[in-house]
Parts: sequence; structure tokens; C-alpha cells
Amino acid sequence: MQSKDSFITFVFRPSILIILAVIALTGCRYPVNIERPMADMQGGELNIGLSENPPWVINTDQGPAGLEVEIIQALAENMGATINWHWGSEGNLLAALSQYQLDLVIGGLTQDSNVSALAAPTKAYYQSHYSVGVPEGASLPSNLEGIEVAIPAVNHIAHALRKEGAVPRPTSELGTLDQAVANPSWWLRAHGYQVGDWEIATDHHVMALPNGENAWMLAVQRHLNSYPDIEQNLQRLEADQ
Amino acid sequence: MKIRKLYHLPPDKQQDLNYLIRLEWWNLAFRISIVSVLALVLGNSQAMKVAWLEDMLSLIPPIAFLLAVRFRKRPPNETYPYGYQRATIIAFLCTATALSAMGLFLLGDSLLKLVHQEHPSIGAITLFGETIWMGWVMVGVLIYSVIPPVIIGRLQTKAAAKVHEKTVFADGKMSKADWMTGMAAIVGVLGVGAGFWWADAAAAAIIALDVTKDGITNLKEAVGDLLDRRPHFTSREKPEYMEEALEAELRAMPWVAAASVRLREEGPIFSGEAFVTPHSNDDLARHLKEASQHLNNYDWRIYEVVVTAWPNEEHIPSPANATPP
Repeated sequence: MQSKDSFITFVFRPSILIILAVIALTGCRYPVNIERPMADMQGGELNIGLSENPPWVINTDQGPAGLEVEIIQALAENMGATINWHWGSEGNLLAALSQYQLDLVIGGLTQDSNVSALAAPTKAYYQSHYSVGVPEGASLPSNLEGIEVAIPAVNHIAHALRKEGAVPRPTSELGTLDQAVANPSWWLRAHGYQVGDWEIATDHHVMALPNGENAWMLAVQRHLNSYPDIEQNLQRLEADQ
Repeated sequence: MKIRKLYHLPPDKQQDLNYLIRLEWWNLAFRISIVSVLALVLGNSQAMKVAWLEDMLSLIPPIAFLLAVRFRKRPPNETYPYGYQRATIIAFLCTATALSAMGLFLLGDSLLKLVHQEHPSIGAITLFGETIWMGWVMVGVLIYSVIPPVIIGRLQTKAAAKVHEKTVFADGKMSKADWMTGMAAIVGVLGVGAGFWWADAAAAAIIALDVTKDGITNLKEAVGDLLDRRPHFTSREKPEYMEEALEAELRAMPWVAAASVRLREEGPIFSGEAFVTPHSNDDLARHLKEASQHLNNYDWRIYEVVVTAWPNEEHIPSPANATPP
């Protein structure tokens, strides 16, 4: 019993007091970042890594564009910060992020172990639902059994399509076809397809932050959650290409 | 073949046991609720992970106890002539092994995170349209996770001491101390929020140390029972000295010249042998049987003491240091 009492007197009570004191000192600025203080980012420079992945991140002659670029530009504007863009491959950018050389990495990243191994992903701010669409005017089939479906030449949905009984046909130019096509619903709508209600696959879109930057994470997450009309913006960006 | 009779608790103790069983069902229900709620908010925090795994492991003792009391109701049979009283201890040994191994693993894992200087990310959660820091939710859940175990732990130790259920008693003692690990996790999470990357892994290491300590304490208890250690009462560290009491009972019988007794723990109850040197061999078989019956009714915890006759010259009296101080 004595050791328990001394534990409470010498370890437990002081540590609670210290924690309360820290919370009181930091006030409403809780949590705080571990590496780079928020005060340094607010009105300062943000180092954003980006890798091309239209329509999320598009490399144009006028500089970066795309949905995620627009989202981050809006965030930087709210914070009164300027952005230094750093182009690179996803792998290199994530490695740099894990060494706190960057504040954020974008590039149409989705929830997977590659991202979470090196970085702290945000919660999914948007989900791309893959479905099958047919050209305007044609009628949607009642099921996909034996139906030939065009898919991008490089894709991760062929397996899931086959499970539905469809025959996937990898095609290089999808935009102008007169047959069933599988792609995210925003892409299908942007290209004038009628979208069926199949759920072939879902991509959970995230951005990558350095580990332990918990105040920054909260700020980014709040911004993402309040960003309006993501689906419409994707359709607009896709239609413009 | 001589098969033991089924052990029956005295009616008042049976009531105490029934209460303990009900308590363990409540304990299990609360533990499951804690594990489920913690799982929802785990995030990236090592301290949360360790606290969660500790709570997962704490599901085993009540499950093991509830299974074992069912098992113990089976009468001894030709295959198991000594009965099923030790079923609890098997379960207890498994729990203790799991606790020790998991504790050591988590300790290593947490220390590795300290060495690698891993910065834990505690993200945001959207509740009722408001995006808040996940750490606040974690702290709330952790506070919930420490309250039921402390209350149930107190009830458990009291009820378990009444019916000498060592496994439940040990579990109750662990639950009572559980609030400290919960608080350590809270300190870890809040520390990370305050910008100390090491707070989380350090808290996790402390909790892991506590898990290991619990595991080793329980392991000692289980191994003691399996090695036929002399009976200890649930809540005390020291032996029970029931052997000496039984010897006195035997010596008080007019036909007994000398007597010595050894007892072992069989789960919640005691069994053993008594060696008696009679003054004469008259009516010896009847005397022995009556003596055995008398001893078996001496205390509710005694299951079966076999009394045998022993020639005088070979009778070794109990060692002097075994008598109560």
C-alpha cells in the first residue's frame, strides 16, 4: 500500500499537474506540432510536394493546377502563407516528407500502406466510386454478366470487374467510345456517360503530412472537411482536359 | 477403482460463488464495451495501442473463470478420478503466459519507438459536423475505460476472497491497479498534443511494464498451484497453516499417538494426506475413516484428506519452522 501511495504522491500527481500546466500555457493552441510550430507556417512559407496525377494534380505551362492544388491554394490563402511547389515522384516526396523537408505531399494519393509507412495520411476527404457507364441514350444493362467493358489500359479494377462477370477490355482512348466503360463516377459524368449503380471499387483520397504534426493535421483536416463541391470540381477539371 | 465424490460448496459459499459468477459476467460485458470503444479511437498512438491490447488480454480471465466453473461441476469419473477442480488453474496459466509474453513484446515495441524517435500522429475526427482533435476523444474513452474496472475490481477481490477463487482475486487486483495504466495513456496522449513526441512511447513502455509485472505475478501463482504448493489464502502472501490445525485435531483424538499432515492447493480448494500413528491397532480401519470424515468437514475449503496409519518409529514430526509464529 505504501508504494502505491508514494506513487500517487511523487509520480502521478506531479505528472497530472505538469500536463494541466502545459495545457493552460498552450491554451486553445492545443494540440501543437512536434517539429515545426504553427506560428511559423501561419503567414510563412509552405513547402508542398506534388506529383502529377490528373485531375488531382496537373502540371501546366502556367504552373500547378488540379483539384488538390486548388484545395491547398485555398488553405494557404486562409493562412496568409505562400507556397513553394516541389515536383517529384510520390516515393521521393514521401521520403522527403518523413524527414520534415516538406509540409505536405499531394498527387491523388489514396489510403494505402505506402503512404502510412512514411507519413501521416489525412482522413479520406473524398471517395472515388468506380462504376460502369454507357453512352447517353443507350440503356444500362440489368447486370454485367458477359458484357464487354472498356477500362483504362493501366488500371486496378480489372480483377473486380471480372468478379462481376464483365469482360474488361483495356483501351487507350476511353473518352469517345460507344460502349460500356468502367471508371470513377465523376469521370463518367464528365464524359457524358450514364452511370450505373454498380460499386466496382472505391479509392479513398488522402493527403500526406509529416508524422507528429498534429496541429497542422487538424488545420488541414478542417479545411478538407469544409471544402465544397469536390465532385463538381472534378467533373469540371476532367471536362476541361 | 476409487473415484472421488463431487465437491460441494456449503450453501452460503455457493451463494457467494453465484454472486461472483454474476459479477464476472458484468465484468466481461464492461470489458467488451471498453475494448470496442477503444478500438474505434486507436489512431496512431502507441500508448493507446498498448492500453487496448492490455484490455483485450483482460477479457481472458473472466472468460476462463466462467468456462472453468462450468467444467468444475462435472463429477470425477474413471478417466479423471480426481475431478476437474484444477480447470481454473489451466486457464489461469494460459492467461498468465499470454500476459507475460505480450507485456514483454509491447515493452520492446515501445522502447524501439523511443529509439527510432517516432513522432506519433494523432489526427482529427469529425463528430456532429465539428472537426476536433482525436486526442480529446481518446482521453474521454480512456477515462471511461478506467472507471468500471476500478469499481468491479474492488467488488471482485472482496467476493473472490470469500470463496477462495485465486484467479478472480488476482484479476480483481489487476483491475484495481488498471486506472494507473489508463492515466499513463492519458498523460501520453496529452503529452503528444503538447509537442513531446516521446510522451506516447514512454507511457506505452510504462503500461507494458505493468502488463509484464501482472503476467509474472500470475504465472507465479499458477505454477505454485501446479507444483502442489502448500495452501495460501487468497488475499495473503503467507501460507495458511491449516496443516498444523488439522494435526491438532487429529492429536486430540484419544486413539492417536502422533499425526502429521500435508496439503496442496487444487484450484480454490485443498486436498492432502494425514499420517497417523495409533496407540493400538484396535478398530483401526473405522478410526481412520472417521478421522478422514472429521477432517473433510473441518473447513469448507478441504476437499479430501486421506488418513493413513503409520508406524511410530518412522513418524517424522512437522518441522519446527512450519509452526505459526
